Amino acid sequence: MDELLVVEDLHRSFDGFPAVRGATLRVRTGEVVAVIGPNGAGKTTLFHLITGVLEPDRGRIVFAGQEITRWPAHRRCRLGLSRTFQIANVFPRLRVFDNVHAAVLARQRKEFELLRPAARFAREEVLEILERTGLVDKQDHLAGTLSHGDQRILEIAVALASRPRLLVLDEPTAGMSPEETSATLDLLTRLNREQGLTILFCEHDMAVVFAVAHSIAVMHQGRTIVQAPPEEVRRHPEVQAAYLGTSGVEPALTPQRPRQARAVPMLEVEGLHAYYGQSHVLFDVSLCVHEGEVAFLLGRNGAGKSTTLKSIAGLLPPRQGRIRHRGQDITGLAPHLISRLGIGYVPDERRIFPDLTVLENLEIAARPTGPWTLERVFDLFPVLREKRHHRGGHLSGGEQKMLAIARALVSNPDLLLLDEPMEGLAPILVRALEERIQELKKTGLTVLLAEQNVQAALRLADRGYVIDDGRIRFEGTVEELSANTEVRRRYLLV
Amino acid sequence: MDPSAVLGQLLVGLSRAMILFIVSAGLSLVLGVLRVPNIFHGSLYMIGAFVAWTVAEVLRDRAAGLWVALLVAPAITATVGLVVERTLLSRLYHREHLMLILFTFGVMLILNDLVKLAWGPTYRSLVPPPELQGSTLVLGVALPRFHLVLFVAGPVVAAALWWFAHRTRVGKIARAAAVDREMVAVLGIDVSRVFALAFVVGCFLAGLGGALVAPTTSITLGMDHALLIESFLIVIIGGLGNLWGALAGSLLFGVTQSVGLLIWPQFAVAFPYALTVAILLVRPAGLLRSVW
Amino acid sequence: MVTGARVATVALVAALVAAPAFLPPFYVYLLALILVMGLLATSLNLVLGYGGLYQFHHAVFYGIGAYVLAIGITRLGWPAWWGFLVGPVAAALAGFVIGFFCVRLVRLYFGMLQLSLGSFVWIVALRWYPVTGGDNGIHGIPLPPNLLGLQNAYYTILAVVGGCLVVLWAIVRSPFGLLLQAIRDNPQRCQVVGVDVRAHQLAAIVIAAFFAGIAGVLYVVLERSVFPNMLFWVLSLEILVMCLLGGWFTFPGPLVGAALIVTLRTLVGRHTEYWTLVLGVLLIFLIFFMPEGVVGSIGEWLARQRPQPLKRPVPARDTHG
Repeated sequence: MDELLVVEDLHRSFDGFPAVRGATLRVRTGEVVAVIGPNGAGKTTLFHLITGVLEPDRGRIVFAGQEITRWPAHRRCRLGLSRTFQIANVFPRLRVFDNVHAAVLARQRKEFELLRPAARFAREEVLEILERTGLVDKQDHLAGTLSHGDQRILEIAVALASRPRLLVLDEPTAGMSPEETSATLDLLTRLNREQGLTILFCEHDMAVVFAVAHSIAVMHQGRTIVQAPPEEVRRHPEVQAAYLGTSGVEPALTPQRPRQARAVPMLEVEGLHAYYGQSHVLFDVSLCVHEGEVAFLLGRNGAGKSTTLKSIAGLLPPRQGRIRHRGQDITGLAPHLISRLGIGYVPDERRIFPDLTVLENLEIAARPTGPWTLERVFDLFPVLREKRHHRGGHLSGGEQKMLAIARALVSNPDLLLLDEPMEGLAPILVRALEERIQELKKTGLTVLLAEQNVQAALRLADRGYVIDDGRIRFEGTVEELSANTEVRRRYLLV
Repeated sequence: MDPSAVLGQLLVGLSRAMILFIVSAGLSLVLGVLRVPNIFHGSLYMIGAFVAWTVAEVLRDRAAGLWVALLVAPAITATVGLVVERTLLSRLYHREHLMLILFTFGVMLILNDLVKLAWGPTYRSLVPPPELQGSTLVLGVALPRFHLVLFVAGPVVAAALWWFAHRTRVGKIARAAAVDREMVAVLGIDVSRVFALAFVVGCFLAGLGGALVAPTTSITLGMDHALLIESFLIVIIGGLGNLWGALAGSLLFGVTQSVGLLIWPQFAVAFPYALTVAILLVRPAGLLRSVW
Repeated sequence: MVTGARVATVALVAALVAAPAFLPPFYVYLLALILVMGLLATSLNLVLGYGGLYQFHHAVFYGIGAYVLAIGITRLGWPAWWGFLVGPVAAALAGFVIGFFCVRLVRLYFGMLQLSLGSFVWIVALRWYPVTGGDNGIHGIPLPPNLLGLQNAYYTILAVVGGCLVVLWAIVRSPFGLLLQAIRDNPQRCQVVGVDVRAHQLAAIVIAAFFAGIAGVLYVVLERSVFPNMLFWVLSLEILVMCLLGGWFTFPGPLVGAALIVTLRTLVGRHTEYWTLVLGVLLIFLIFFMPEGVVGSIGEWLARQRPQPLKRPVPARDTHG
């Protein structure tokens, strides 16, 4: 088999932040290759570079014998490179049929066919693709109204319409139920075996990866550590350390003593249903956090952690359900009012203000209603004191995360919503951040910690929840979760 | 070409640039923070000119007539802006962008007709107070004395805006809101108040520009049209939301047009437009960085 | 088209053909004007509603079509038929040049660049007195005898506009139209599916400009004059309002909007000289209470009576910037 895709030493930075530095990849015709790595490792950026959504700063990409490094995306597609996106990226206002139809028409180069009605072309081909992917019954539905899992499958259908030689899939099973995941797996396996379709995908679901991949490439901090058959990768020491988050001799999860529950919980969420437009993303989510405790909200990518926190912070008003803060109903309040009631929110994308200095970022958030002064926050994060006159945009990713947390702290919240603070950080920084959060915990601050990094979360928290596919699947203490291998394997993959 | 003629034209262009800057800075501020191109910005400029005329007429015998006008006119346009923003515009922030733009267009249509209703179609002129009449020598060139006021007003406005944006808490919040309004809300700040403030300041500047231009030109209906387009072009070539860009753009505009009069008088008006096209072809996002 | 709509269209066409027989000349003139404006607005809607582009200065292409015809006949001695051909082609060419630079930008930047380039054309027309007549424009443009007179002008306009609308309707339903809407909804997706987004958008702009140029030429047939305000940005915004008023996610919307605006302007103009005030209030009312426009709202109301899902696209919440 010869090599269909070769990626050599690819580099790409954003505003000084190196998302990809030295990525390599080799995909042979007919293979299924998986790319794995923690969040922030650069997988999605790499896929954007391969498919032409972004241009690299350095490096080479060769596809089907042609160097396509700087080709525009549509040219790559015409050469046989198709992709799906991490967040379902269909045409929401067109019907399912039209979604695939548009792609088929583009492939047939009919885009400048002006006078004859579109309905006359390629009907059979569209129906055939819909049959193959199991969407034919839903062809008249508006794509934006489909369930999340169906939208991901529609994406695959749209990608197939281009008759690709290489199909690039960005986390194809993210946010899917186990049934949908195995249906997608079947589809991909069939496409590979029956039609010889070469597949490149990235995933967090290790079960999927080890089940289908012929070759696995492991990325960490923008670099490819190794690319090898699955068994070799599983045993590779660097991979175990970097990705699986453990060097194999991790101490057992030590349970924390649960704090005393007060009469009125700090935060109560009851029966929350939330939607992104037409897409129903949270189903009957209920949780509560008691004063002084650190509660975990664990789940994979796309499980609904960020959405839950956004709902509580007021950025995504729920359609049903209630949110109470110290007994007071805050459902549907404007975000700035919720913040003033004492709820601090640290989003996973950091979202610091790049044009303002570190000091200015903190100044505009500061509120004198509690113990957190600028000085105290600088004591907690000394690097921020050092760089206080630097513009926010010039900080490294880890420093920006600290700034985001510091910024929430100076508003003196009594409840802190932390969304994936460890994401994309190097292990040393993860440790450092863990220590800081431990210190915060000692001050009696209540924290709701949403994380993918199960180990770290369980070291910090007392009790909490596991969420998957927008539904709460588990509630209990750290001890109970450590003992429950079923839940951990099914929803958290550890 | 006679060097003193060139110098003369340069100075005239410079004084024109000061007006353009004051008006464009207001437009740029609104565009930067609210991301709305305010189509009735020009109407406020026109209202500023007419109000200044009325105030000066009423206070005709008082020496301070013009100075009072320079305060009252922008105050009135700022109030108009505040009322429109609080009652109607703020309800549209969550809507499609195009709707906001069309809304400001609707307000422009209404305001323009209200001006016609209030002042009628004839044109007015405003005579500056005696101490500012006549001309004076600047660098050996004769210039209307009133233009000295413009040479002071421009830099003062620039300095005040810079200080507001970089040294006040509200200004920093406004800069943050321009980039990420949701995050500013999450920090406990009522973003709509920030928007209102930015909008009011923008409208104030429009009125101030109108009041300042009143003694130098005829005050008529339709004086807003050409100026609005010019302000937009200046903001576009300067970089959306960028204060220094507005200054640079205004200088380029003012100077190009007035020097153009020496080269090709018939088409001098078109020179700044040609310059805009040239700049945008090379740097479509503007000369300087835009705020978002 | 649904049967009900088909019947209505046939009835409408029949009425329009018969109109000069029983309407006084002033109303025939109004109808002709509505048809011209309707074509102009529909051509704008191709890129605005179906393409999702911020086409802020569409009037430029209309004005260029008209001026090229006028200048050709009066200054260059062209035969009228030659002018009728070259006018729209010149407009299409302008669409290509202006569009070429604009498609490199997105959304608001696109619109503002177009506004700048279009304004440059306007000011040249305003100043180039010997060629364009400057402020005054050009009047009394001679036309072949079978186009002179209101009736002849009306039927010509009716025939041409009718033909153009049929073509535009076909374009909207063609693969080109489908992909244009797909680009509106998700340009990034279209790129990875093999569509050259910029080329596609540019083509749409050129087509829209061509039809706008035809509208400009038809205006000359009706009025036998051209004015610089045909190139002015205020007119561009007025056409936008027509699309909004009628409903910019529908095909007949812009036509309906044009009819309403022209009629209202005439009616209101009889009682007051403050038509722009009325227009402004109307526009604000629309934005707050009827953002789907007249046709859109009727469509929504009808859909609520029927149980099936709507097939036409639903306007989504846009993000700023």
